[in-house]
Amino acid sequence: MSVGKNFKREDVWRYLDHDMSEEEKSNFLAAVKTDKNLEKILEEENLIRLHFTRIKLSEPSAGFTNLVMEKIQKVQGEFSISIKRSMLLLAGVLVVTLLTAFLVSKGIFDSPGTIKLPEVNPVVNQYLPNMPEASQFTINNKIVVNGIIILNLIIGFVLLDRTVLRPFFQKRMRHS
Amino acid sequence: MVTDADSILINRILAGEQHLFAQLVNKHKSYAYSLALRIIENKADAEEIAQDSFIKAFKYLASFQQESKFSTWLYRIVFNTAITYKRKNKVSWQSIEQLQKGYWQDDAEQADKKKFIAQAIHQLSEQDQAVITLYYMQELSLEEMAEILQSPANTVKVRVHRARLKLAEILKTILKKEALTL
Repeated sequence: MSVGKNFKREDVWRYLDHDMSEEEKSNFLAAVKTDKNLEKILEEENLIRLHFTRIKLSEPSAGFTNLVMEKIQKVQGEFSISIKRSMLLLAGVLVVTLLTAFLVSKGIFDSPGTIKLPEVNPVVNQYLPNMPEASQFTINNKIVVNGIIILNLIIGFVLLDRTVLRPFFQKRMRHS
Repeated sequence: MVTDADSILINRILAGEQHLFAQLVNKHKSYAYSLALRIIENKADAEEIAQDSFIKAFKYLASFQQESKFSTWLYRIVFNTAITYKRKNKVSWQSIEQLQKGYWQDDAEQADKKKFIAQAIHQLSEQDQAVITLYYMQELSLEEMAEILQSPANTVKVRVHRARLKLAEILKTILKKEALTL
């Protein structure tokens, strides 16, 4: 985009960006003195620059840092678990898993359990005295308990990763 | 890996001295706030965005690889937070004028031109506004801008050039229109 006899708008940018050699600069300034259009463009581009550089000096409110630190403490309080508490949780998960696995191995849950709706809730019997056979549910206790053990193990692994392994390896990475 | 004052502070914060994060906030708050202000054009929202950005930075500090400067990483967070906010909440034109009153209370002679410049900037696309803002804020190299915008440095250079040209053309059109109405 040509803005003067010998100069383009890009040259105005180069001048303002301090990308011109001393010789180019003196030629450019000489042209600005004689070329009204170039002078106008230079003024405009300089105003655009000022528009941005003045805003750069903006300062947030005086309590900005304190507010950030308070918010950080709040966020930490909401989501973080201390190492001691997480170790206790991990131990709890482990004890429950081992205990359940022991009971499963002893055959405590081998017999299937049956749930009869009229027995669970007498109101059902009151209104529907002749309940069909379908109202009886047979549950394989062993499968249910094995599912709980697997779920426990998954929770245990997540806890181990988040509270012990990850902080440990991050610390090691920082010190290496 | 960068080893500067920020890097030393970050290592201490990650080692447990979390109160030192306040020093990082103090050091970078003006620039983070100004960048948000330039994108959002509203002081209260810009402050909220700058605060949220610092909180995000703290939360993910452990994942910061320290291959670039902390400031570059932080500005990328500010930039992304501000752009996301702007897309969700449309900011009115009036807020720009209110903003101008805050930092342009000097010579009345150039007031009109300044108003037209603000109008022209506002007519740029969101991407062009962002590129040109980062460019004029001057503290960033082309490589740092590329990292914040997540584009190659050459692409950023071309985008800056195009945005400046567009701005000049819009300004020219506005000034022409104004001259005709006089």
